[in-house]
Amino acid sequence: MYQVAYRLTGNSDDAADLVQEALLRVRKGLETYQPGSLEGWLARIVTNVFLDEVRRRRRRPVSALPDDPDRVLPATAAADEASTELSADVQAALSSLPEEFRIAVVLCDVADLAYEDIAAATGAPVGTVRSRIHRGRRMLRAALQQGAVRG
Amino acid sequence: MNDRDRLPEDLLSGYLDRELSSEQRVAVEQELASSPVWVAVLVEITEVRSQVRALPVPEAPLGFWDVVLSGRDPVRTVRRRLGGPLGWVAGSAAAAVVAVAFLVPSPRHAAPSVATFVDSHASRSSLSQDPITQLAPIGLRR
Repeated sequence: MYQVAYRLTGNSDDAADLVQEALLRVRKGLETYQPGSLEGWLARIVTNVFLDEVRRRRRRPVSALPDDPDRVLPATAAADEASTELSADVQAALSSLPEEFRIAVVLCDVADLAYEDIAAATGAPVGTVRSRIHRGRRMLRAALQQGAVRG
Repeated sequence: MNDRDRLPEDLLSGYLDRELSSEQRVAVEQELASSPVWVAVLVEITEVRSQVRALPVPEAPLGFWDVVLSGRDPVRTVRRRLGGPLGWVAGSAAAAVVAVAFLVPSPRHAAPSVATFVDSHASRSSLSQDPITQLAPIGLRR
């Protein structure tokens, strides 16, 4: 859950807040939970908390500092400068995506959810989920290429 | 193939994620066999997908799970309380209070009793005839 939250928000403070809020909602929602995809249910809660926060910030903008990429890398990989830079670039590109595309890509490629679970989590039809994932990936590619050209 | 018959490109992501029906899969493979553009897009999204999937697993801050799972909520509340613009104001005010407490001398040092000072000096140095001792009567008069 923390990993998904981190990839959605792009920094550890906001990820921690997101996880805490999501867990509070999980506790409140346990009574109404109906047996099904637990991962999909959790993903829906995390997604809703994330979107609530995005809407709140649109009303009252605040700036969040991105994390030092070294901090989120395992010790063995931290020594690998190229890998660190690439991770930071990919996270930056991910953070630049509009929320609906970012959510679709993160739930697919970070949380490893099936399209059907992503559809349940986001309330969008499976076809829309597929479209968002695909467009999100193409946008990521373009953002990474732009970064490489600028860098 | 005209525009109406053209397969939607997002089927490529479905193909990559193994989320297509067998019919859709066959259709995509046929398109890939005849379209270098589709092959290029498939290569691109395969690469991006691998990059996202290869991102390192971030570690939660030290002690985070202990706090969260204990049901307490200090991480968020403390940060929210002090993290926003009001937090900066509150922090600055607190710093100012501390600075004033340390830098401004205490009032009891700022107002010495001249009479007491002169009197005690006179009692200790009445035999020395030093100039300060000569002031003793003035101090006592006040």
